[in-house]
Amino acid sequence: MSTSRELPPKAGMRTEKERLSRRAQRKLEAERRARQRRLLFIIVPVVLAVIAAGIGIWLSQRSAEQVAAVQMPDVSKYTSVPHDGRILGDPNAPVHVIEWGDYQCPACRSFEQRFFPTILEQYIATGKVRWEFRDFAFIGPESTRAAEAAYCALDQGKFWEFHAALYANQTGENVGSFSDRRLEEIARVVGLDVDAFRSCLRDGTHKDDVQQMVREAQSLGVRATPSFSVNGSAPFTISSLADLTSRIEEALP
Amino acid sequence: MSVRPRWLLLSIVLSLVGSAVAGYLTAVAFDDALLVCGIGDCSTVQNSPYAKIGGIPIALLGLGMYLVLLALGIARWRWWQQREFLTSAAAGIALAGTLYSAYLTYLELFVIHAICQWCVTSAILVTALLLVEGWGLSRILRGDAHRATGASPGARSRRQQPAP
Repeated sequence: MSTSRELPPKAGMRTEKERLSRRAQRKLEAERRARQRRLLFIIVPVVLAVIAAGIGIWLSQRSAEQVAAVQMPDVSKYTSVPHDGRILGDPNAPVHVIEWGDYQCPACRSFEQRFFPTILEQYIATGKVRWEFRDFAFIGPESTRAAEAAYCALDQGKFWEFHAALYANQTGENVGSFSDRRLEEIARVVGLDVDAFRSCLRDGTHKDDVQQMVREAQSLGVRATPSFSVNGSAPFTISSLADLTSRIEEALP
Repeated sequence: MSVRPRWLLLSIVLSLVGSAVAGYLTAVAFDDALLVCGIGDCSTVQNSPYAKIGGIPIALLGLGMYLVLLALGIARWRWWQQREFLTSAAAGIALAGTLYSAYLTYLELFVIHAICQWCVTSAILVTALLLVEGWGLSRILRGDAHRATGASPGARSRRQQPAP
């Protein structure tokens, strides 16, 4: 009796122990699996994220390095009207418009390519407006270099051709659009004497001229580009072509 | 409807704001009628050669990312039981966005030398999303999200309802 009484509890204890350890094992196993699962939910997205960001950065770098080849735009619209230095149009035209621009400014490029042909056709070619371009180089060192380069082109009598070519070859700001080497290439496609141009740019022949022009614009109140002045008015910016043409119309006799 | 954790609501709100910011930047990227270029506000960044990948404006990619995060946020609100996988995906996307934004901010500061305010706003938003999603993921994986928020008990009680 006693043995039979003693045995079952012993066997029971053993099975209890076994069950416990089996349960503990299962618990451990479950915990291990949960840990793995947790790790999966962290490691997989982290690895994928790093790969995705890496590919994005690589693609960005590659697209930025592909700086477009220098192009020569059609400049016949400029050369078909009287032009002298920075002034385009009849020197005796009743309305004098000044435009302040920065060759790195995308808004200036947009104005030049979308609206200026209309102004040229309707007001400059018809002898109503005399258009003057002045530098307000403020975006960065390449703005100043481009403005100096345009001055060097002016020395060779090709300011407007060079001016148009600068805008046509604007690829972004402070990213090498107007590095000295690229400015020389632009000078070449414009048909300048490249040696004279190079020394003009290298020697900083017009550095002070550009600086003075920018200071003068600042003192007149120019804060953004392109800014305009009609017959000596305070500089203003535009949000549509009509903003400018209405001012010109008002100034016409 | 069982209670959803507050961080999920925060994530949805941040994704919404991010979508709005990226939407604005995308509209600017497609607008070539930009007519004024002011000091410190010149679309310099958006006009840099870095602003596009294969002709696609980065802003558009950013908009896509915020919309996916928003969709993941709404999906978790609706199907909370899928939270582990969905939060893991959201955290991964937010991490990729944060890393790429860090690179873009580096470009703005040291290469383009111009800051685009809305781009910086977007970088801050995606970093905040990473923090929120990372925190949410850690709570979910630790399994204490429901205890603290009562989200799961809610789900459980719904399951228990038909029993009696």
